[in-house]
Amino acid sequence: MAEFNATHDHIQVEPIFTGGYAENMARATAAILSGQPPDVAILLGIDIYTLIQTEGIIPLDDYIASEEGLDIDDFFDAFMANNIADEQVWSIPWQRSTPILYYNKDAFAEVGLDPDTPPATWEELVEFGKQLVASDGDNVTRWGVEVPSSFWIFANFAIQAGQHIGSLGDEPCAVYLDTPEAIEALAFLRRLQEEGIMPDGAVAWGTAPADFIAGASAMIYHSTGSLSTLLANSPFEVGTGFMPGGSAGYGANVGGGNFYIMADIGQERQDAAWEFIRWMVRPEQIGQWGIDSGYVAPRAAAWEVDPLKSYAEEVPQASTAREQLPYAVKEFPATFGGQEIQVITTQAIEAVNTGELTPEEALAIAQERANDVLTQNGCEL
Amino acid sequence: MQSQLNAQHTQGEGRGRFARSLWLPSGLNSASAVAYLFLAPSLVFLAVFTIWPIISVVISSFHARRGRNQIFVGLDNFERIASDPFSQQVILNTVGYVALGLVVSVFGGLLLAVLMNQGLRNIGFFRFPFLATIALPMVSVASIWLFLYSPRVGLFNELLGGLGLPRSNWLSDPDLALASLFAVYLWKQLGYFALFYLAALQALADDVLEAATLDGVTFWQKLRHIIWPLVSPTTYFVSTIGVLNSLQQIDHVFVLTQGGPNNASSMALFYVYEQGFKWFKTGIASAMTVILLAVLLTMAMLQFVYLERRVHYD
Repeated sequence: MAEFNATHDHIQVEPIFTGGYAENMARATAAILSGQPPDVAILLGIDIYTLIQTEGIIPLDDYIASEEGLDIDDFFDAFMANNIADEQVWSIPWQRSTPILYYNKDAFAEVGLDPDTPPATWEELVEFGKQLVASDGDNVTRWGVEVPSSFWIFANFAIQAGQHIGSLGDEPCAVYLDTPEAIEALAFLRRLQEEGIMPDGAVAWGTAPADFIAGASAMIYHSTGSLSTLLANSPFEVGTGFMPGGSAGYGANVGGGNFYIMADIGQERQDAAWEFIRWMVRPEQIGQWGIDSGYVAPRAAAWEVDPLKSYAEEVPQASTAREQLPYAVKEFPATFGGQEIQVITTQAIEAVNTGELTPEEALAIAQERANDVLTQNGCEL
Repeated sequence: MQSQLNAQHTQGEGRGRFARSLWLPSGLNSASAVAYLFLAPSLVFLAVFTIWPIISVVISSFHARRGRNQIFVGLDNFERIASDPFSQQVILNTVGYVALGLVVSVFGGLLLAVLMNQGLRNIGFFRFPFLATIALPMVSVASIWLFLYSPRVGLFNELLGGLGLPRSNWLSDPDLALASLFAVYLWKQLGYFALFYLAALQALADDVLEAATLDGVTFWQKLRHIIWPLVSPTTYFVSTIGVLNSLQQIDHVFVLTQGGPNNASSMALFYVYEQGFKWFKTGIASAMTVILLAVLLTMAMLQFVYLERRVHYD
């Protein structure tokens, strides 16, 4: 940022940190509705329809096609899926991700598993998990696996079972929470607990990496964006792998932040915002950010130049999420009212993880509530 | 409410004082004009920061946001709150929390104060930990308790595990989450209520209690028949503040559970935040605020009418 400001006399960028993606979206929406938007914001791809609905953002096709444009085909397809609506591009991928499986190689070796072979299927996950559980009397000292009770993680299991809970195309009114595949996926998450591989109760997003580092959990599902933190803080060798496949094989939904340019800020500021974005997504720049964070640099060119090229050779874990991309689809929930549907879905997962409801009951309620949100936003279901 | 009452009191006193004063011979009218002049700064603040927000939140509660526009929906927001099991749960959680908070802050606070008021040596040593919690901001308190409650490395589970007792998932067990939040609230606020009672107790004349002791009155009888009636102004104050305090709880909900798991520990103010500032359903958030406001006003009236009569201020 300082470097950009130093090299651009006519543009000064002032960053504002607001917290996680949800807080940032709340802040951006408040700013849009009060008529005082920022110029650029890094927001989730799934927020696209909410942002279009509040007329808060502008399409970027003219900028992309302009002389000072961008080779948009260089960005990975899976990372563009959430950025297109009405056949227009509304945001440029920045720090993108998929969830991956992290595993403790030392723990694998300790129980006689091959440290270079993570589980490839749900059944292997159960089998390996059982072997990895360690206990001291009745008290479990190491769990086999922890899967955060999160809409974004659950979506992958549904894809692996054969049906995404969100849409694959440009359908802001589609949510598929009560399908047999989604029920199968949630039942599998519950099974991990019933088999004693995963702790009972809801698993918080931030708990899983903390437990993993502390050795209290041998495998976790988490964003590839956590890679740097886990590599730097784990006192053992960290392995990474694709999320194990279900009856429909491997599957993932993408995630992470994108650059949006706001409406209502005037042509001059929008031009400056575009110049800033172009500078930020230069292959060297975006590659360096991938190294610093663990996020997947979203464009092919970044992987062909240093610093990312030589880093990927040194740290093979950094490539796992990119290699998983052929199995990756659009992020859930790319709909109107997506922020609320996220919480509705997570609540259903929590209800099942705590044994309050069965997967069928919880997902039926979630589907009904999601439909209500969509209807309230003008969807005809 | 409290500030409005105060404003009226001041106004009444002001008028009397000015009416009697010699340098304003033209009588009541100009006297009240002067009074209003002095009150003007407060009235402006009251209008801008209290009355106008109330009016606008009532207006907003009859509307729903569509994109950038607000459309009129009548009572729809209230009907949605009444019929949605999740908001019903929020209301139930809040009512339970406030009711329990009221009982515990009054009786617990008094009991703690009575204990702190015993003429023990080094009593300061015992008073300190209870009073120190008042000074801490709730967000920091909640962050500390987050570690205490942590399922695998937290203090509580370590202690329970050490004693061979089963461990609990304090914050992510739907049966425990709200109680765990309440425990944090209690830990932090009980000393606050005790402080008022302690002040009241120390203001009590010693001779009454001494006479009672000489007459052979037991500790509980003293508490019930002498102390309790004599500290009634404090009870009135503590119960009012206690209700307001517990209704306004959001910091620890935010830090510890985010209302989860599955809405089990959500409360009114967190609900308003979530609806209004996360999802920008300003209509629903306003409707819940109006409900809160109506409940508070009703309770303030009831307390004013019934409790105030039974309070001794001598």
